[in-house]
This record gives sequence, C-alpha cells and structure tokens, in this order.
Amino acid sequence: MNCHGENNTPDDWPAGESVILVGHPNVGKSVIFGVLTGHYVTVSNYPGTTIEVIRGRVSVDGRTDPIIDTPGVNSLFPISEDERVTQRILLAEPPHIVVQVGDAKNLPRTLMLTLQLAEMEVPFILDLNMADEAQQRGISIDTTQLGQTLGTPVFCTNAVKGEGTAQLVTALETPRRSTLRVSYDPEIEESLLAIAPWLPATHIGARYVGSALLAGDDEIATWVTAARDEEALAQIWQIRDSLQAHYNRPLSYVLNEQRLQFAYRLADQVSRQDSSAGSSWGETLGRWTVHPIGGIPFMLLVLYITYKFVGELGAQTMVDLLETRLFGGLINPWIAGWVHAWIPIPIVQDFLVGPYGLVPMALTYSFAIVLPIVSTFFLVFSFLEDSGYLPRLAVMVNRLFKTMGLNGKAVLPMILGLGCDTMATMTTRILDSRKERLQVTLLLALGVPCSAQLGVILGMIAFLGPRAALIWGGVIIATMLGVGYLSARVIPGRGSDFILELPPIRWPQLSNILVKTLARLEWYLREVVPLFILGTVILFVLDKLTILQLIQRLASPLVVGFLGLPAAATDAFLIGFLRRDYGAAGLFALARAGAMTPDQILVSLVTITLFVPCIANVLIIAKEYGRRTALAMSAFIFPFAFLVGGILHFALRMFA
Amino acid sequence: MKCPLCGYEFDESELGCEAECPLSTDCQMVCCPHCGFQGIDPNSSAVVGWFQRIRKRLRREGSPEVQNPPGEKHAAVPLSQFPTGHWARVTHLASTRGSRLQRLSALGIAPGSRVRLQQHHPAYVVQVGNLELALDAEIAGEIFVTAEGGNEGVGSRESEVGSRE
Ligand SMILES: Nc1nc2c(ncn2[C@@H]2O[C@H](COP(=O)(O)OP(=O)(O)OP(=O)(O)O)[C@@H](O)[C@H]2O)c(=O)[nH]1
Ligand SMILES: [Zn+2]
Repeated sequence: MNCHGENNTPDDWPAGESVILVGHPNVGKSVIFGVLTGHYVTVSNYPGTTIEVIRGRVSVDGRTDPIIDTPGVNSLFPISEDERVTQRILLAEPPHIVVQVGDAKNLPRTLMLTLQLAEMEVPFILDLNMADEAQQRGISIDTTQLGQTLGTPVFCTNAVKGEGTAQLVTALETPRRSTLRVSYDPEIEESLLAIAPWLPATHIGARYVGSALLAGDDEIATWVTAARDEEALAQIWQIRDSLQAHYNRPLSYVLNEQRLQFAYRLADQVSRQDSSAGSSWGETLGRWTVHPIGGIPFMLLVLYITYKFVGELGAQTMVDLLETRLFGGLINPWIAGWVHAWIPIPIVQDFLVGPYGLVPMALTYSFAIVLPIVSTFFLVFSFLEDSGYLPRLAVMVNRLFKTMGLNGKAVLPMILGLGCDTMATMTTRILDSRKERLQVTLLLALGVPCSAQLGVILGMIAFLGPRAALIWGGVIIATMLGVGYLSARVIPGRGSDFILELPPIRWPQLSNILVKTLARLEWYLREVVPLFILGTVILFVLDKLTILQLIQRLASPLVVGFLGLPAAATDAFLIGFLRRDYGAAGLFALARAGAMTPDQILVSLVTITLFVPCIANVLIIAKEYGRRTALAMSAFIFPFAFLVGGILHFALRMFA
Repeated sequence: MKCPLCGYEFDESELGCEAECPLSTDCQMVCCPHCGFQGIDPNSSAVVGWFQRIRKRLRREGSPEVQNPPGEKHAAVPLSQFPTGHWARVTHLASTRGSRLQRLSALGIAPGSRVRLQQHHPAYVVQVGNLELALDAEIAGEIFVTAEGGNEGVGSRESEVGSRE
C-alpha cells in the first residue's frame, strides 16, 4: 500500500486566483455577482436562472481576479445536470476563494453545503444573504459564533439593497479554510480513513472525495481512476460495499442524513427563531396562488391581465399608433417620396420602398408591429419572473403535466419559452431526466410561441374575439397534450419526481424589471431585426427572379387548397422559416389589410404557431442533443403544423 | 346496500327491480326487496360522489380546529395523512429510491426535521423550516411523521442552547 494521499494536503497546493460563487438555487448568487463585478447578470425569482457558468472580474487586494457565478446546487454530490457543472468547476482547479451564498432564513440547509465545502478543504467565506427576510421572520443568527465554529468568516447581507456587501469584498482578501468536520458514525469514519490512502493527491480534501466515493459519485470515480488506477478504485469499491452492508439505505442517503442532522444541531446552537412573528402579505398571497380553489381564479387573473396589457395595450393601441399613424401615415410615405425623388434607379427604389422593400416590410414589421408588442410582453414577463409566481404555477399544472409523463417542474422552461424558445431550450437542464428534457424541447419547438410571436398572435386574436381565442388556445393546448402524451411513449427513459422549491412571493423591484426588459429589448433588436432584414432581402430577390410566384403556385395546393388561405399567405410561411414571429407578423399585416376572413386568420394562426422552430432554436437543439435530434424534430414539426391547420380548416368549414 | 326508506340492508343480488327493465344494467334505481321502495341511490351518483369528495377535501384543507394529530404520540403516520397546518417531526423515510432519498435529505427532510403540511391539492405543499416544497402525493406518503411533542430529536427550536447576538 502506498501513502500518496496522506502527506499531500490541500494546504500544500498553490492557491488559485479565481473567486467562485456557489450556493443553493435562488439564494441571490447572481445579485451578489452583480454587486461584486458591477455588471448586471440575469436575476429572477425562480430556481435555475443561471444555467451557464458566468465569468466576470472582481478587484481583490488591488488585483483584478476572475470571478465565476455557478448554477445553484442542492448538494455537492450532484443529482442533476446543472449541479454537475458546479462540481466540475470546483474540482477543476484550486480557487482563490469560494463565496458560499446562502439563505439566512434556511440556515440548516445552507450549512449542509457549508459542511461539504469544509470537507473539500477549499478556502471559503459564508455569506448569509436575504438577511432582511430572515429578520422579518424573527430569525436571529450569531454570525460571530458561527464564524468561530467554522473557522471562516461569516457575513449577513441584503444583496438587493447592497447592505453588508462591502465587508464581503474585504474578506475576499484573506482566504481561510474551515476546520469543522461532520462527525459520522464510527463505521463511516473508519471507511473514510481506509479510503484515504487510495486517493490521488489534489487540492480537494480527502474527506470530500472519500465521502463522494462512498455515495457512489460516478464523476469522482472516473476522476480517481484517471489520476490513480483501476486498482485503487477496485479497493475503494470494496470498502464501500462492506460499509453499505451495515445499512439498509443507500450510503448516499445515510451520509446526507447524518450531515443534515449535524447541520440542524449547529444551526440550533447559533440561531433562534422567534415564532411569534406573523406571516407577511407575501406568505399569505403565496398560499392563495397554490390554493386548490383560489389558485385557479388567480391563474386566470394573471392570464387576463397579461392579455389586457400585451394583447390590447401593446398589440392594438400601440401598434395602431405606430403602424398606422407613425409608419403608415408619416414615415413610410415620407421615405418613399424621398427615395423616389433622389434615387432614380428603379431597382433600388423597389428594394427600399417597394412591396417587398426594406422600409415597408422589415422596418415596419420589426419596429411598428413587433417592438411595441414585445416591450409590453417583456414587462409583464419580468414582473412575473421576479414575483416568484412561476414555480407556484408549476404546482397548479402538475396534474395536467403528469398526463404527458412530465411533472409540474416542466412548466418552468415552457413559460420561459414564451420569452424565447432558444433560451428556454437551455433551461430544460433543470429537469432531471433526459427523457423529460427531450420532451420539453420538442414541445417548445412545436407549440410554445415566443414573445414576439405570441404578441402578434394576441393582437390578431383581439381582432377576432373570444370565440377565436378559445379555438386557438384549445387547438394548441390539445395538440401539445397529444404530442406530449405520445412522445412520453416514444422517447425511451423515465420521468422524475416532482420535488420543487417554492420561493417566497416578493414585490418585484422596478429597477430589476426595467433592466431585464431593456436587456431583452436590446437582444431583440440585435438578433431579430437583422434576421427580419435578411428575410426581406430573400423575399425581394425571390420576387425579382419570379421564383416567389413559382413557389406560390407550387405551394398553392397546400396553402390555398388544404388550408384554404389566400396565396399571399405563402410569403408569410416562407419567411416563417427564418423566424416564426416574422411569419406571424406577415399574417398580421395581411389580416389588418382585410385580406383574410376570420376563419382564415384562425387557421393561419394555428399553423404559424406550430410552424417550424426558428433557426436559432434548431441550432441550440443540435448543440444540446445532436444534429440528428434537431433534424428529426424539424422534420416532424413542419408537416405536422400543416396537418393540424388543415384539419382545423375542414372542421371550421363543416361547422360553419 | 341499504334501503333509504325502511333501512333494510340487502345485497345487490337481492335487488327487487324487474329483470326486463331496459335500464337494469348500470342504473341507479334501487328497489328494496323488503318494502318495495323504488328510488335513486344517492351514493351511486357520480355527481354526488364528486360533490362529497370536494366537500371532504375542503374540510380537510381548512381544519384549524383539529387539535394536534390523531393517534398516539409515537405512532408514525405518512405525512399525507397528517392534518394540515400542524408541525410534525419526521421519523423515517419509507422510500427505497436512492435519488429520491438523496434529494429529500438535501432539501432538509430527514429523520428529526420539523415539517408542516400545508395542503394536499393540487400538489402537496410542505414547509420545512422556512422553506416551502411542493411534492407529489406518492412522496408525501413516504415521509413518516409523528406529532411534535417534547424536545426529542434535532432541529427543535425550543431545545436549543448557546449564546447569540
Ligand atoms: N429580499 C431579498 N431578496 C433577494 C436578496 N438577494 C436576492 N434576492 C432576490 O432573490 C431572487 C433570486 O436571485 P438570483 O440572484 O437570481 O439567485 P441565484 O442564486 O443566482 O439563482 P439561480 O441562478 O437560479 O441559482 C431574486 O428575485 C432577487 O431579487 C436579498 O438579500 N433580500
Ligand atoms: Zn444565478
């Protein structure tokens, strides 16, 4: 037996230079990141906001060090994909210091993670954030005593107000390791000792690596094999198996249980909760939003307000003002006059102000139709995100989602899909099984309209009245349920448990809502407008080469015959390949021009809602699940959208 | 089956309805073989059953008057059967699924922790310390709890010692 692991403790490793933020989901890591770096990163009130690692710079002791914001974790023995990411970062290289951001009002849970960091033997400080909410609930924590017990500094902060964060910055300068260790059962302690000699020497403490191996962490196991050899791993598995024989529960759980109980005892020593503190309005409202009866009217109320705001204020009042008055009445005629007067080349004139010209199409669509709609939508959406209502919605729809082999948690990426399907596809990582991730990705690509598209659709529906709204909603929901149900049977694998943390209802901060809305609008302008312009250019070229007319003729049996739409709608579907919302805007313009009957509008709406996902979304699907999956999904969705549209067309004709 | 009129208890096979009655299969009519009463059995009505279930559910949801839990102090019951609104202490988790156990314990649910059931529908909502969790019925059925009495176990706020600010 050799004794590699023993004389090489983490203290001997050269300190790294990065500052790493870790913590449970939704505890305010991203707000702290913003405070430390001075840069804004997306902050929302639901677990899983940060899915990618975010890097920035922070000045420590006169230097600027890299700082990393990681996805929230419940444990450093990961269960889900996003938890893996955080573990990998900690294992990859020695940090300068780890900042654990914790929730002050859930001290035992926070300490569970602290204890793992202590065993990892990385230098860290503990930041108990949301001190305001803890205080409101009558919780007081003795940070000095906790700091002494841990051997590392502990702070209380209120990140959104910036209270206490100055101390945090100073503390980054003096990294210290914690000396506190969980005392496990004697049998476990013995096994940990027995494992230690087989471990490779690293910057990570042997107790953490040992207990991760006892818990059966595959990633750590591969890591050990790579650093040592198969032999070492075989020895370790043997130790684990004989320890497991002592317990009738998986060791992963036994270890967690003992760590949790240790954390409870520690929390009891350093904190106290005055139970006389009454419940706040947020808690009372929170109860109502998931109430078996009260929750439903609440949900409808939220929908109704969204509709009023986006569908009426955005898509009608503001679009009227901008499209009809500003662009239709002033800008477009003025530019047209100017172009005709000053640029005597017909093809350029056509390109700029002709029927498929840049100004009447790309600019009018993106600034006069889509922009007002997405602005109002992003405002409502950011408000909902920050209020903490979205996870509660998951509770309300859990049953419904069960019929699709999913659980309520899947509603989070779907709702985010209303913002942008591409980003939502990445958020599917918060789901636990690959099967669920694939299913939700498919449903997103198929039927969840993104903000711009939804806004345009709401605008058209407002135009048609409640009957159309019901039919549209009914067809889309039924289609999604049907496809969800079937996909649960086709995609191999299994679903997962519904265990979801419900953050407290908070009154959103106006500044955060505005910042998020502006960030999203900028994204829209940068990413979407160029695509709109590209789409227009393509249409223009096709039109000039008379290919457009050919396509319209070729597609006529499908568009005119099968869907019963005017031939001009072909253009909208064509540009829909670039972005569904652009297609929707095309239909919107047709509808406003009075070129379609109400039933035709309805059919075209349903078809474009289900139409092929936008290019960015296909690319992201390819990145996350491979090109074949992306192709297969698109190949299914495209004909399927027409099929549903066609069926609706015939149904409407039958019942008319 | 019990006759709503005379109270005579009888078996389904004794039903006194005409065998040729076109409605005889699956009808809700009862014909008492004792007194000859013919009427609708309210218990066989789907609507009534549905109505009663809702009423029962509502009563269970908002039952603040129920004093601390039914049964003995140490008899552990699944959390799903524990009255809402009362603190309880977890005695054990009956699940055998490793990932489920691991997740629950990472969220603070393990023997000794204090939990409070808030509602059953549309999903179980459980408060653990100051954290609210939504759970499937199946999982709530695997968390066994006893009524909170005395200071045994960890995590009890009352039993705590130590200095503070
Ligand atoms: N009351 C209060 N709310 C806070 C505080 N810090 C953060 N928040 C709110 O908590 C929510 C979550 O903040 P985030 O920074 O997104 O949390 P996170 O830890 O990065 O979350 P994930 O990325 O999902 O893991 C937001 O709604 C914040 O406004 C605080 O000190 N007090
Ligand atoms: Zn974050």
